[in-house]
Amino acid sequence: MIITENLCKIYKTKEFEVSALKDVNINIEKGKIISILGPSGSGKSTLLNCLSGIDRPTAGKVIIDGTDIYSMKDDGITKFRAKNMGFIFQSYNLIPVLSVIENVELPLLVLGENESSARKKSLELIEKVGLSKRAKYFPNQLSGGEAQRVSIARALVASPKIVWADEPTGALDTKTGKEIMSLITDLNRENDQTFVIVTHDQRITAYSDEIFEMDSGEIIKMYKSEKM
Amino acid sequence: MSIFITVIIILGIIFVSGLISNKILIKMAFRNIFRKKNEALLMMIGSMISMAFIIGALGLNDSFNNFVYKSIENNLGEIDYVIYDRENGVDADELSDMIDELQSEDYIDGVLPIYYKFFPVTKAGDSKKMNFTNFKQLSVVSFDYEKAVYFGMNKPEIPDEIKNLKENEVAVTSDYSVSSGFSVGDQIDIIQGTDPMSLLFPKKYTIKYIIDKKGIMNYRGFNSEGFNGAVYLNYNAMKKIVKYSSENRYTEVLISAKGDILGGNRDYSDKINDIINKYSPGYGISYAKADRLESVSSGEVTFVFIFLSVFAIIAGIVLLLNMYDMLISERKRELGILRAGGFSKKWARLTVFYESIFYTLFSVPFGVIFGIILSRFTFSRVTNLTSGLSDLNILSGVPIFDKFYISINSVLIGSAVGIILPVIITYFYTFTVNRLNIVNAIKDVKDYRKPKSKPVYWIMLVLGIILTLLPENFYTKIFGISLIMLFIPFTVFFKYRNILNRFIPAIPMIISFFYKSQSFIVLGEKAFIILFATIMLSLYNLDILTGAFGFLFSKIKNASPILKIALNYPVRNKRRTGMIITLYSLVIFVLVIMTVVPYIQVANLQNSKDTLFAGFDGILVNVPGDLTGKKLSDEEMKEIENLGAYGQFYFLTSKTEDQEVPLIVTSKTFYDVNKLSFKETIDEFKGMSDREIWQELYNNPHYSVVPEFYVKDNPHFSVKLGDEFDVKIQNIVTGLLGRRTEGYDYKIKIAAVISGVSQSLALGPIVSDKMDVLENVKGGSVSGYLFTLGKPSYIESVRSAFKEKGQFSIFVDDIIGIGMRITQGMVNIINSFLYFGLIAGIIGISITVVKSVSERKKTIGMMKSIGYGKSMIFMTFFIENSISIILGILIGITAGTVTSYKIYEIIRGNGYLKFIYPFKDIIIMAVGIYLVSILFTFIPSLKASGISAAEAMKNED
Repeated sequence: MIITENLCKIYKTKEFEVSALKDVNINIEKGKIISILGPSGSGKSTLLNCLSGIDRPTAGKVIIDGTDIYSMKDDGITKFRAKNMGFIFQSYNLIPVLSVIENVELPLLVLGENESSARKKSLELIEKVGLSKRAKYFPNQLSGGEAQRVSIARALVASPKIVWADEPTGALDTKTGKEIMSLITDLNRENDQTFVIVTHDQRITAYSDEIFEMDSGEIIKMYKSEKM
Repeated sequence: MSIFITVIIILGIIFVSGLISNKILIKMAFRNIFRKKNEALLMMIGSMISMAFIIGALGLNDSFNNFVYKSIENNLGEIDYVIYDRENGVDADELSDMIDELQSEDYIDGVLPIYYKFFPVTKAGDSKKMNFTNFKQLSVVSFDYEKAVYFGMNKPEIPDEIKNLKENEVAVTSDYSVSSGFSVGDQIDIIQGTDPMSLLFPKKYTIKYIIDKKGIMNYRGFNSEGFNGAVYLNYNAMKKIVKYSSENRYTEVLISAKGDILGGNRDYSDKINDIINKYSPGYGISYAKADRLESVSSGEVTFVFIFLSVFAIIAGIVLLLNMYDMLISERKRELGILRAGGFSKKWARLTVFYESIFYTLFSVPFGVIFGIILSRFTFSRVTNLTSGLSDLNILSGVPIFDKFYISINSVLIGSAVGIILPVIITYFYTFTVNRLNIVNAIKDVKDYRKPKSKPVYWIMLVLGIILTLLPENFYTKIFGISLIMLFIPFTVFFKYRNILNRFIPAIPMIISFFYKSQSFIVLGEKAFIILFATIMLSLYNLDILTGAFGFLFSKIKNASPILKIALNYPVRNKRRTGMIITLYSLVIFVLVIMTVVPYIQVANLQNSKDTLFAGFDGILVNVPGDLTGKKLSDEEMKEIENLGAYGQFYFLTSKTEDQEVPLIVTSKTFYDVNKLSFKETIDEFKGMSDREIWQELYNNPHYSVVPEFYVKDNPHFSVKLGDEFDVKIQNIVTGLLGRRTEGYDYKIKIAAVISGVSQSLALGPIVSDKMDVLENVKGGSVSGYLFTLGKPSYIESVRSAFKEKGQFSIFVDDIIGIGMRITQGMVNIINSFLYFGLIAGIIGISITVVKSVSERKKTIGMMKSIGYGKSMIFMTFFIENSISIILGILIGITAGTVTSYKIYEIIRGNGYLKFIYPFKDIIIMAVGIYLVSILFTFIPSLKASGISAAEAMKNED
């Protein structure tokens, strides 16, 4: 489903040049939970950005469902992303001036769905993540775990084929982290969506189907995991 | 003043020593400035604008005061008191006891009895030629020049040429000699009466000396409007002109007090006042300089400058608050980290405070320079306007605001206020840092606080209630209601308080609108309450208003996700939105007032075209002088090309037993052409059209039509519609044996009342020239023609034709033109200052957008990741900014219009001024301001849309 061909990313400044990704070649199958593991600075977030189309690689290809996403212009990639991808961020990135329900329905509105239908779908998902009583709350009234649930609901509301998660448990305590990962696993099972999770937390691997280990911009190890 | 400056210096020293002891903080604050150069530049421009505003307002004020002080010094010199009697003159003997006591107490150092009178003065020969265009109204003055050298502390030098003036010689002030092109040796006519003899055979004088002095040698009468200049006559010659009943009677007695009001010594004034009050001599007393200063400080111009200064300071404060609110919000995460790392609340607070100090200090020199340039530029326009108007040769002259002036004190005060104001604001504002929740700050999550009341809020609320309940006093009542309005939302927490809040601000607004007052001070207060209440009303109803905007933008592409964010940011960030709205509404508010009020005056002036000369385009005036053959005949009038209709008129003097009744007799053309409408008529005319009534009035010469003021509250003559009365029409006949007065009986009935006719045309009844006695009296009356032009563009050719024939013509367009030039000129000047004020709004919105972009980088990244395209991000910012700007503009227009209406109510008085609204001007102004402002948000909005999602989500500077 997601194939990369010699993916490279070089960051250039006046003083130096850094190869964040070096000839990365991976193949991710549909409906799997993939963990990209590695220490800080190993290039895992860069890989996620390149895979998801938010950061153009210096060289190489990213092919999703047969489409070379970087053959498209920025607007094309944006539309492709809106239709096919969802994002979960470490710091939730909820919009502070929108309520929980408004944050969740946003991707549907971007896709042109009408407001009443978007609201209905969002409420269903909010219920699924266990926050139906918090639907009208604003982000600053939520705990970290709740905020991340909202972030997950927002990532899934448009039924994307792929969900990218950058350190989804990074800002949470162990218990809440586990709850979030269980939720992700449940949703993956239920909807057959592909989850790509970037993390440096070994414990996440327990929830994954496959693990890619990275160091210095290279995939140094790929292996399958026994799911919990 | 020196105490104030000393305090500033001491505070400065304390502050600098404080800085030195906090080197780490200085380093951080200083480096923060250079981290984001564009933002730092905006902050400095913002501080600079605030300071420039204050200095600019002070500079204008100084220049105006300088003009006033200079003109007082020039015209009055050491004259402190003027004792006068307009009718009969002052008998100096009656003042001797009072003067003796003043002298024995050593309170005064000069007493000078003088003669003066206003007369038209012109080049010799002009009068005979009836060349009125060169006439100027001047003060003709004289006193005992030998005694005058002892007047005042700095004894005036009086040149021998003046002391030795002969009876047919004069000295003239240099301003008159320059404006009329006279030099020593030239001859002038002084027209010493209104009778034909005075006009035809005026007294001729030779100029012996041109005076360029201050004080008594430049004196024009204590409340003289004679800006044109003064003429000094031989003492005996003047005595013969004024013809007082006794030798010791004078027009005025001038007194010089020891010390000087302008110099700041008021001790003598109080003691002198006591003695004057003790004797109360029964004459008019003018406290010359004090009265002049008083009239200036309570005059409209001062009001405008105070208004501008207050406006400037408030706009500056709001801009600064807005800037530092954004700065603290932007630095929140860093401050949280500093606090977590061991910085005390005070240290965290001081990092922002010191940063603000640097911005302020950097902007001081530029602010001062810019402020001076601004006020200089604005004042130069005043100078151009007044000198332009003086070229128009208005009979009484125009004061020329000649020189820009700003005092060192104003620069120091302006700089001190410019420094202190932001320092105080930021110092207290940085206390918000104390409330920072460290964890939330580090996570960059907005703090959530349940609204709770504080004792101080309750105190303010109770104070508001007490002030509101105090006995009838507008100031306290309105202040009280404003306090209630402000603090109810923070004190009373009940279920439906949000609904109540939506309406509370309307209360002071309604009270202010319906409270009747003629005072300009109350009006100023009302104005700010109306503006303030409108802003509050809008903020409490922001969701409804933004909803309306949502509807407005609902048809754009991808409206739903764009509006979801664009509408919610202003609503959820009420404080920030409120500040932008306040900045804009403040400027627009003043601009609207400065546009609407003069527009009403100008529009009414334009509309007065039909009433000034009753719909005619001009008049020709001939004072009794038919002897000269100068008055044009009907045939001669016919020969004037491009002239439309014309008809004769005569001003006649008539008397009842105890009242003068000024009559205007008009020919048929007046009845056919005038554009006046009837207010009421006698029953006989009921059912007739206006034109039919005019014909009836013409055919019946005993029927008269009177202006409305003549039958309404006439203090001199109590008459009403339908009244009949007898008058004796006066006629002065000049013959070889002198002058004698004839009288002719005539019966007048008030048959109709008209409104709107100008008093310069008709001071009393208008009657038809079918009047049988007209032939007997018209020779001795002031008469002339009312005429229309064939086309408006013929004005110059007709004017030249009249001039060639030596006629004195007045055109409606000239009168209206001068009025409009004065009004519009002043408005343009003030508006140029105010449009500069818009920079405050633009800087405010620019800072908001720039800081919003950096503040919301992560949000932008997230939006991009979920599918917001570049144009969608741009539109989000565009609509969000548009909402604040448009709301600010709309609030400013609403509050400005309401206030303009209140001003109109005052200036209208009982007159006929109509409220005419300049829709076109206001719409152009609003659209223009919106476009310019939104243009300034384009670059940061574009920058926001161009941020890459991956970059945005890193969110590190």
